[in-house]
Amino acid sequence: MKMRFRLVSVSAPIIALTISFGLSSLILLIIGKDPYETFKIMFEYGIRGKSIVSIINRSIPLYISAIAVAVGFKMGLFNIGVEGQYLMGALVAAYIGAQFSIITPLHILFIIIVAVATSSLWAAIAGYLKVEKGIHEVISTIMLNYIGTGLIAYSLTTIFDEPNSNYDLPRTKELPETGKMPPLNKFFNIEDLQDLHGFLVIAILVGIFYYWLVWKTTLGFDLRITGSNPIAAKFSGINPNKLVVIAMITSGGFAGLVGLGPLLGYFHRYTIDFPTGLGFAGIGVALLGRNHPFGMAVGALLFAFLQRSAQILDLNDVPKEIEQMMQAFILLIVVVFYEVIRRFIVKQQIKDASKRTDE
Amino acid sequence: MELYSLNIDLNQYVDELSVGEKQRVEIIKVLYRGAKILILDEPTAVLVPQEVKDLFKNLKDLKNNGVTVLFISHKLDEVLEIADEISVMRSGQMIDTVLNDNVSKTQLAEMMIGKSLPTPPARLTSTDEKVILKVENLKSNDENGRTIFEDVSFEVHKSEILGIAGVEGNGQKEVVEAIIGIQALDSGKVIFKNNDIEEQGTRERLESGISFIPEDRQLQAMIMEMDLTNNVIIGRQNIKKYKSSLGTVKMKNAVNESEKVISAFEVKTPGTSTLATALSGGNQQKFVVGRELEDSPSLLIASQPTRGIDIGAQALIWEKLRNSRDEGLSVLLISADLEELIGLSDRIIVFYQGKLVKEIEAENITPEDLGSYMTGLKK
Amino acid sequence: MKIFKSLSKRYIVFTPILLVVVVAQVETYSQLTTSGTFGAAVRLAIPILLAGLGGLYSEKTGVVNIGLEGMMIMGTWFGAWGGFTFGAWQGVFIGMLGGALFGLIHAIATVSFQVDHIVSGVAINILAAGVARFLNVIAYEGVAFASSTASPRIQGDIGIFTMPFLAGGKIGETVTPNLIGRVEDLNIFLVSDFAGLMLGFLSNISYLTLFALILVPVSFLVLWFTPLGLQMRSVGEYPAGAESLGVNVYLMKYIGVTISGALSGLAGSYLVVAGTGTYLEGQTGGRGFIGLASMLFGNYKPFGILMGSGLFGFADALQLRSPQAVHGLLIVISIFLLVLTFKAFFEKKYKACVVSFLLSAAFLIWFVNSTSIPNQFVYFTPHITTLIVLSFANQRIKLPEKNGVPYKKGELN
Repeated sequence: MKMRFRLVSVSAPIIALTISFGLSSLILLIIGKDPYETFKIMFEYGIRGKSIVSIINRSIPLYISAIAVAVGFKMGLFNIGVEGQYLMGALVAAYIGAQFSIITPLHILFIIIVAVATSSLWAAIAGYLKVEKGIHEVISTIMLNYIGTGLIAYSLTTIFDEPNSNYDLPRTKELPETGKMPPLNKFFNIEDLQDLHGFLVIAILVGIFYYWLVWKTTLGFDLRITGSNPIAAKFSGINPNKLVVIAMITSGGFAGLVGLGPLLGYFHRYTIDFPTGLGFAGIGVALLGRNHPFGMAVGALLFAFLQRSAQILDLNDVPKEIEQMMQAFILLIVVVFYEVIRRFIVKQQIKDASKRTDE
Repeated sequence: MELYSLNIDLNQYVDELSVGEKQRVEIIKVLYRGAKILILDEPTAVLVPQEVKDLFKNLKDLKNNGVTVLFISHKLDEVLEIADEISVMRSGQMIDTVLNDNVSKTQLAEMMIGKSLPTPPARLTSTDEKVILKVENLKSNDENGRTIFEDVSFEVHKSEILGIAGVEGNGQKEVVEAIIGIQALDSGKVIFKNNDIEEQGTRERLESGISFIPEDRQLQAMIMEMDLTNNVIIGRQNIKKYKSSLGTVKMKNAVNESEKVISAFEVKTPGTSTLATALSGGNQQKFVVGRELEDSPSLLIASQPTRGIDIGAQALIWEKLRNSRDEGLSVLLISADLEELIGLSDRIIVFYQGKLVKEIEAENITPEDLGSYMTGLKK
Repeated sequence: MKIFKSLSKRYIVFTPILLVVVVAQVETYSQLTTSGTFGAAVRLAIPILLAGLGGLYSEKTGVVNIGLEGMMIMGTWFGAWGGFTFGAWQGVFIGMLGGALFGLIHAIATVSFQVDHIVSGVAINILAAGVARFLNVIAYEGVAFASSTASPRIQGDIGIFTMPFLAGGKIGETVTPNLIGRVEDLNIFLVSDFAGLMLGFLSNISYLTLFALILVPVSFLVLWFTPLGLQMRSVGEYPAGAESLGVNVYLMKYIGVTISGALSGLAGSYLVVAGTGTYLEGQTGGRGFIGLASMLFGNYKPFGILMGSGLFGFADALQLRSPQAVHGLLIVISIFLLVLTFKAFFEKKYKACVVSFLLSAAFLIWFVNSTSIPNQFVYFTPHITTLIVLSFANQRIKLPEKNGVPYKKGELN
């Protein structure tokens, strides 16, 4: 019976995808473009070898970001601040990581620790504000995003800027060779394609860790019941305040890893072009994957696919922004249908239960 | 108001009124709109006997003035007192409609649960001497400095059910929550099995042998969206039985325990993976009570343990409570159902305006008298 | 004496104000209390005010609306498009409609489909950003001055008006004397600063601003003195009770949320029409959320929201026009923290006392050792003000009882 319900739950994203495609097709028709052609072009571009590597690379930070957000969601917390947290983590890690050189595995490990510590600290502020001052984390994390942006801009132009540089714009010193993450191309015999980021390994480990943490440990159990019913959690002996802070710190910790994929993989330094928006994109993936480690992986790949395949549209006279609309549609619709399906399942269970009562 | 002899001071704020008066305001409101039919859903749940008498007088007057009253209740005595005609429903279906003169209480009860009622047994053992829980001079104020309760001292012995009577809002709920560690104490001692536990957190108290059945099962005792297996761990997720040294949850043990509870307490459910929200109220309550009792606690705090559930479930819970008490359990019982309170308890203490005003053996008191103490009429 | 007592209770509000006025006497920081600053503060406060009022209508009916930012974005885009295609006032109206449309979407998701309010709000924000970007690309194909992130200028504008005599406005063709302006120029302590405040409200005020300000007492009347308002509020407090009395709970929620969308849309239109004159990606800058904050700060009352948005507008104005003056705020904060230190000391809260003393010293050191605040910091003045204000204001928050709880017909929870 559990299987039956699991399958039913999966129908929600499928419905959402279908409706979203439908709506997007409608919009394309309205602006005078052929939906079938558009999607065909996108699809063909998307499954090319080079694209696949690009898609996997893109999906790595999306996935980790989604996990960071999902940890919060499981506890009923909305960590919208993943955006600010990951950027802070990446900047500090980029600066400190470039100051020295040790053997690669240790160097990378050190960079990871610095990033995670920074982002957790930034997230902890929101946790503290919620617990001590009752400020809702949606507002505090968003405000902290803006504040973080300002702090990053300031420190990048002053203390973190590469000294003696001929380059006009501010940026951190480049990471030494030992601080760069080697690509995985050797293992897959795809040496002719661009780098497949080594951070993929970490992303998979993160997913496994997340699953174990939330569903297998007692801490995860506490998180989930506090998220479902904070009052019953309190009556069961849980200290909700302590848990809020723990959850925010954990979520922030995961966030710190988000920027490291790009940083260790190809940027190798923090510049003003460093990828932004990953924190917000992660929220979408978490909602789409419903906080499930596998679901979010699929969601991340899907969004990455859409992003990549849409790039070809410019060459075909279709506004590539249609892809952002599609993402947004998918999100809103899937969220509605998850709720609809959930209620359906509950009704079914009630029916099953009351059948037994009359025996 | 005059017509129906419902007397209220019109200038008072609603939240300063007593529960009975609030109810009268509701009735006035409805009549003001010209209602010809008055539907009352469990109106006496929070009233003391005097207020019930007043309500019934009002209802009889209303009836004589042409108003039709639909009185929904599970309290058979009251239904038999006030109703002309009685309809019995079960599982969403109408069972029968009978005239009041033609039916007895037992018959009604049997119509409601569909089978014959068990008869309560006489008490086999007697209260032990040993004191399991002792509270001394408990006091607590709220944020505005108003006293919630003060000077509260009492003892609970082994193999005893101590009933706590009080109109809602007189401090008894908070005292009990203080014993379990959720309500903050300004001063006083809580001594459990000869240990001072005021400094302990709720979790430690739960793990040291105190079990708690909160009054709102859906909000406070269970996680509705989770299944029964997960719900059986709540309150004790950190003990060795459910938590491994790595910090993982021992699901197998949870499943076993859940199934044990389901069978021992006759919880009607397709299985332990059913979501809590799918169960009926009575089955949910049976599960919660079962979960708390199967833990073999030394002290059980039960707040409104049979509120809003069917007669069959209620009878089962009573039986289980009595059996556990006979085997040595100490129970602190809060109930607004005075018959339940008097029927189950060995001793009863009464709360009025945050203070303990009376202590008496259960066999020596009637519901009317108890109601008088609860409303401060008697001292 | 009684006045003194109630004043001293409100010291959290009055002390900083007094300190700011005092500091403003110094030449470098005089911008803190000029009419120019206050005028800008009013202009910048209005979108926040409208968003806050919008949030109020929604929350009062029991629906949390985090999507105000997204609805505001729709207001900016539709306002710009409407302004470009038709004219300024039409742009305003169309902007409102755009916001209302998204409000309706939020209502459908949360009320009819029972989706979690915050999840829906977040999704709406994402949707709005995507829609705005997309629409901007397709709507202006081939039009000059348009890019994927900006729209062309709107036609015409909303009139502005300046009060005659008091603020030197025109009657017909003649310019009248600027009486209050003269008072301001006199540089008398407190009086001139107050004159600056008045002038800010009386000169170069857009008609749209007036409209927005009028909405404050109007909202108060509607929500607390009309049957509709009573129904809406009852739905937020205790929907089951309201339903049992015949109130159409779903309809009330729909109304509340759609109005909140319309007001946020209006806020967005205002940003465009009374501000830059074009749509720019990202121009809302978190103001939807700051609007929420002002709603919390204002304790869910229209006049409180006015106060809150005024405060945030002031912070925003300083940030935009006189970064120099922001430096003066440092010493204000330092002294204020010193006052708090004494308060904590008398209340025997020693830990808080030490903390605020250290912070006070830190700000003092910062103030003394610098002549200006880096502009990246100045940029987030409104956002950090939000956090600080919310930290202090939170004691008196009173949410409607059943806020954020999805309501199903017939459910008694």
